[in-house]
Amino acid sequence: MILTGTALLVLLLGTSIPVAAALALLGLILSELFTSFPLIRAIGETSWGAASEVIIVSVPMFILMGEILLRSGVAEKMYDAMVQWFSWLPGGLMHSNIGACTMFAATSGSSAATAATISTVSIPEMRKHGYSPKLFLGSLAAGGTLGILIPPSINLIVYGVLTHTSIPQLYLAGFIPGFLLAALFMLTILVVCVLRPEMGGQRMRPSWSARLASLPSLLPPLALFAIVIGSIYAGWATPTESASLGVVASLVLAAANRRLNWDVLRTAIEGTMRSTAMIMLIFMAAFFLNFVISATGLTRELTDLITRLDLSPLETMIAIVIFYIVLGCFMETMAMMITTIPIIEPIIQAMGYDSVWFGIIVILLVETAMITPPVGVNLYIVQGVRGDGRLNEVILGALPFVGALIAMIGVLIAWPELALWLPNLWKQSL
Amino acid sequence: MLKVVHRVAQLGVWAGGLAMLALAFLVSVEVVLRKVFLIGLSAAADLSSYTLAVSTAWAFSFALLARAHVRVDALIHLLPRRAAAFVDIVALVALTWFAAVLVWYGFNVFAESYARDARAMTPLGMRMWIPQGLWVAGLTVFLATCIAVLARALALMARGRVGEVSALIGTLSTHEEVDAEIKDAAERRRVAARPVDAR
Repeated sequence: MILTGTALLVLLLGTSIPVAAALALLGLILSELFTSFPLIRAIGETSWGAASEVIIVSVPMFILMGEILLRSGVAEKMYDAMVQWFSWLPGGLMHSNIGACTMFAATSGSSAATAATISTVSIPEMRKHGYSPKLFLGSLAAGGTLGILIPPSINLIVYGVLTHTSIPQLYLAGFIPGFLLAALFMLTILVVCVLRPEMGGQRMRPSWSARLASLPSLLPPLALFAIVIGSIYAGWATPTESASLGVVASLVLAAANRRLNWDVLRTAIEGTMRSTAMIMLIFMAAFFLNFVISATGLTRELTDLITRLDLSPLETMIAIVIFYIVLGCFMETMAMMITTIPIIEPIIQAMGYDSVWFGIIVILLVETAMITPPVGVNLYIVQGVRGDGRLNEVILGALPFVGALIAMIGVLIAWPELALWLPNLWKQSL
Repeated sequence: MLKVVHRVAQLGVWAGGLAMLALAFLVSVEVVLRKVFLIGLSAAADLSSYTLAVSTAWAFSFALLARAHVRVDALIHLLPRRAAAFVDIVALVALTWFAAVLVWYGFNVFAESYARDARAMTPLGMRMWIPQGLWVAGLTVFLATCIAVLARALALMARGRVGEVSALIGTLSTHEEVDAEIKDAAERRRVAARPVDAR
C-alpha cells in the first residue's frame, strides 16, 4: 500500500497535474483500492471542514498584512536605520539587509513579502554604492526567508493546523533559532567578505548622532510586532484574532505615511486572494486525502515500516532532512508542507521527537527550499525586483547561505533546547 | 464567454477581499470591546470561518485565470511545445474533475443542512445552509470557469495555436514569473513615488 501510494503520488505530481487535483485523485484511487466503502462521498464534509477551519483565517490575514506593508512606506525608513547601525562591518550594506529582514520578519508572516519588501529598498542602494551583485542579492533572498521563522509565520500556522500543535508555542520556539540564524547569515557575509573582499563593497562610517537619530524609524515595526505578537501572550487575542489586528494596524500605518489609496488596496486584495485560493484548494484536497489515509491505516503501516527498518532516531531524522532538501528543489513550499507533514509528523512522534521542535526544523527546511533552484521562490523575487542581469548570480550568491541554513539545522538537532526553552518556560508560567 | 468568466472572477475576488477587510475590522472591534469594555460579542469567530470558506471558493476562478494553482513543472519543461500543451490540457481536465467533485458533494452538504434546517452550535446559531449555499455557488462558478477555459484551450489546440494554449493554461515559466514581478515592482515604485494625494 505504501509503495502504491508513493508511486501514484510521484506519477500524478510528475505529470504536472495541479497539486490539489493530484491529492484528491490519489485519495479516490487509494479508497477504491484499499477500502470497501466509497470514501469519496465524505469529500463534501471534509472540504467544508477544511474550508471553514477558523485558525486558517489568519493565513489570508497575514498575506493581506504583508501586501499592505509592502506598499506602506514603513520599510524605507527602517532600512535607513539599519544602514546606520550595521554598515561599518566588512560586507557593509549586506549586514543591513539581514538586519532589516530580521526586523521586518517580526511583523510579517511571509518570506516572499519580506524578500520583496527589503529588496525593493535595498537594490537601488546596491547600485549606488557599487556592490558586487552576487552575494548582495543572495543575502536578500536568504534574509527574506527569516520571514517565516521569526513570528508571526504563515507556515508555522499551517504546520500547527496540520499537526494539532499549539501556535503560541510554535511562535515562541521560532524566536531563538530565528535570531541565531540571522547572526549566522551575518557571520557568513563577514567570513566571505574577509576572505574575498571583492565580494563586498563600500563600507560606511556613520556618526553616532545619525545612529541615534535613526532610532525613531524603528518604532512603527516595533509597535506592529507588539500588537500582533504581544496581544497573544498578553492573553488579549487568539493567534487568529491577532492577525486581524495586524491588518488594521498596517492599514493605519499606510494611511499615516500617506500611501493608502484604492490602487494599493486593489493590488493587495488581488494578491491576497490569489495566494489564499491556491493554498485553500490544496488544503481541501489534503483534508480528504488525510481522511482516506487514516481510514486505510496507511500512516500506521508507514510508521511500522520505519520501525522495522531499525534506524536510530537520528538516522531517521537525517533521512527526513535529505528527503525535504531534495523535494524542496522541485515543489512549491506550501504545497510541499501540506502534502507531506500529515504523513511525516506521526513518524517523528513515534521516534520520540517533539512536535514543536520538528515544526522549527520543517521551517528551516522550507527556508532552504526557498533559495535552492530550480524552484526557489525567493531567488525569483529578488531577481524580479532587480530587473536586469542573470538569475544565476542570485543562485550562486545564495549558496553560502544554504550552507548556513544546513548548519543551523544541524545545530538545532544537536541542541533541541534552542527551540524548546522558551515554549517550556511559557508552559510552566501558565 | 471567457470575457464573462473573467468579469465574474474579478468581481468575486473583490467582494471576497473586501469581506476579508471588513472581517479584520470586526474582529479588531470585538477584541477591543472584550478587553477594554468587557463586552463579549462572539460573532466574529463564526463569521471568520464562513468568510474564509465563501471568499476563497469565489477566488478559485481568479486563481485559475492567473494560472496560480500550483503544479510541479520540473519535467514538463523538457517536453517539446506541442506535447507540453497537451499535458497542460490533461492537467486542466484533472482540475475540472476535482471542481465537479467538489460541486457535487458540496451541494449534498448544503442540501442536507437545508433539509434539516441545521444550525451552528454557537451563540450566533447561524443557519448552516446560508454560508454553505454561498460556498457551493462559488465552487459552481469555479467549475464553470474550468469548463470555459478548457473549451477555449481545446478550440485553440484544434486550430494548432499551441503558443496561445500555453499562454492560457501553461505553468508560469521562470521568464513570465520574473516579468510579472518586474511589472509588479515597477508598479510599486510608481505607487510609492506618486505625489501625496492632491486634495
